Amino acid sequence: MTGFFVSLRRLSALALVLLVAACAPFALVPAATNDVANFRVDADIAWNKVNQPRLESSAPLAYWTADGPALNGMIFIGGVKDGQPVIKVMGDTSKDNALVFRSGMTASEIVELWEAATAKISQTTIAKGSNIEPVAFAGGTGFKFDFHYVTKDEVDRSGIGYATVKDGKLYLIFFSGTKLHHYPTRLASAKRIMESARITG
Amino acid sequence: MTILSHRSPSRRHVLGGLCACSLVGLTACNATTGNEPPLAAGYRPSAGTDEGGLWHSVEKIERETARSRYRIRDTELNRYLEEIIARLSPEFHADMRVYLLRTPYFNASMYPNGMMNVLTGLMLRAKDEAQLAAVLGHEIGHYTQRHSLARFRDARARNDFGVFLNMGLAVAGVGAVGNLTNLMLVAGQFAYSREHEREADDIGVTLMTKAGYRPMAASEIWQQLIDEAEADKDRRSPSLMFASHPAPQERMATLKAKAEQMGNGGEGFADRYREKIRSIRFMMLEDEIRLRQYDRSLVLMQRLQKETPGDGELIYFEAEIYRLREDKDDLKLAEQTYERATLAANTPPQAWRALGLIQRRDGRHDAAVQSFRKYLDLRPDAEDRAIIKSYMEKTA
Repeated sequence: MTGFFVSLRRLSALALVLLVAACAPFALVPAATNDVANFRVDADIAWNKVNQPRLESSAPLAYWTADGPALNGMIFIGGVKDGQPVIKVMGDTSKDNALVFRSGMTASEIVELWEAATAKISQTTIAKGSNIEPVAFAGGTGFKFDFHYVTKDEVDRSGIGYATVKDGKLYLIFFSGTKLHHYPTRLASAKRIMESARITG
Repeated sequence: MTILSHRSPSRRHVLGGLCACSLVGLTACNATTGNEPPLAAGYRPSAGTDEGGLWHSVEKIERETARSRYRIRDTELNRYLEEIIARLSPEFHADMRVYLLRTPYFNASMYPNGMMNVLTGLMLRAKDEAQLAAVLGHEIGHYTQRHSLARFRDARARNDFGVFLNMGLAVAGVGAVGNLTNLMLVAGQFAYSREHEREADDIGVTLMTKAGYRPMAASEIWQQLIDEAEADKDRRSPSLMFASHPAPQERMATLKAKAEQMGNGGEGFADRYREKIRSIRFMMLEDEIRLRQYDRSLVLMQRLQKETPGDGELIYFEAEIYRLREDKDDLKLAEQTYERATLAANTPPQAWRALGLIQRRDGRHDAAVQSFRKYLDLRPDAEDRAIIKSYMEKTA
């Protein structure tokens, strides 16, 4: 079998995953204190947890959305260990170590890693972090960053991330949405969640 | 980052699969090849024909391409591409439109209505104007010989239309980089016969030689791609170029033989080419590095440095590969390479920042502070000033 056909078979499998994800049920996340992916966070509005996100991590990962996964979403990644992948498309078995976290990484390098992850997952060349600054996060010192990327549907999206490295493990929460509406509309609620985060595991 | 597919595969993807013909489309070899009479300059099919319908559909794709966020709109650079096409094909250049797209893979593609897409991955890899002209000439060959139409009719005659659609939909759902790259991939999957590729290669070399370019450039670019592919231990994306056939080697040999027939004259215009792509080179290099295909990128970076020795920007990006790869001794190698970059001309300020990051990780606080200070001096409006300052305080 040629590489061409092997490639197609893999693409078909991924297409199936997309289809399943598109039909996946959501679970209501109440406007209350919630435990999610090794975080405890306070939500001031109800969110929806996507039960079968298309993404996975070596650490617990959860995906919430306020208005629908194609419009906005918040990723929780709770405790990536040194040498482990931060995030990837579910079922991606490629051997590359491109998206691996190293415990000595600085904030700049973690944002750079997030840019590469976004470029790969969202299939884009336009993915850039900015305004990285140190902040208190999850009970310790962390950092936050702004983000801009364009998805393959050519829609501009804005994002904001908070992260910290605790005991050599990466904890990250990232919210993004369509630049013109679904990001600014939910930004305050998203920030409230990120700024209330405590690490539980 | 959103997690679900944002929309269903569009008509554009599917039609892209039917209509485009790309440079890398050399893997399909079983199709029977119908031949159509070559185009006449200014030709436009009547709307009531199958060819007219094909053009109409591709025109929709072209409108989307023209609006794309991935399109490079640098006026001078676009004019430069148009000038090369005009030089290669004085007769047909008015019928063709070229779109430069920000996608870090080596490819170009031609559509039946005269739309040509050129990817930045090709621009980064071409050594000189002659190599770029070889690729553009090849695409012009597909256009003037109406290979798209021949393939379209051939597939229809063999009742492959459903297969086209299904495969197009599968690819469209999970392409490599952006919708437009999907089109390139689809184009590659539904590539032409070897006969068409050979014909386009032949026309390309003829056109470039007539236009005053050195004909050997056509085979060189394939050798460069082979070198990159061989360095890639995992043989990852874009795998379709070297999927299963030894075609690149064969193709390179054929092009070389053709070039020898054409004589040793012609120019490369390397200096002019480097000057013209200067405005987008840093961006292209960043996009290349972000693919994190370290082995391939390293071969490319070292080749580019041979062509322009002492270029600090290229040395910086070589160091970036070592820093990101982080294999055994890579950080040490990265540091040495950054230091070499800081002594060269045209080095971006980011080299000092990267040096500082490595020194910081290694616990050499004073050296790190010095490197970060140099970075901020060179880039006083750096948007990451706040975090760099925090590194300096912590390391001080």
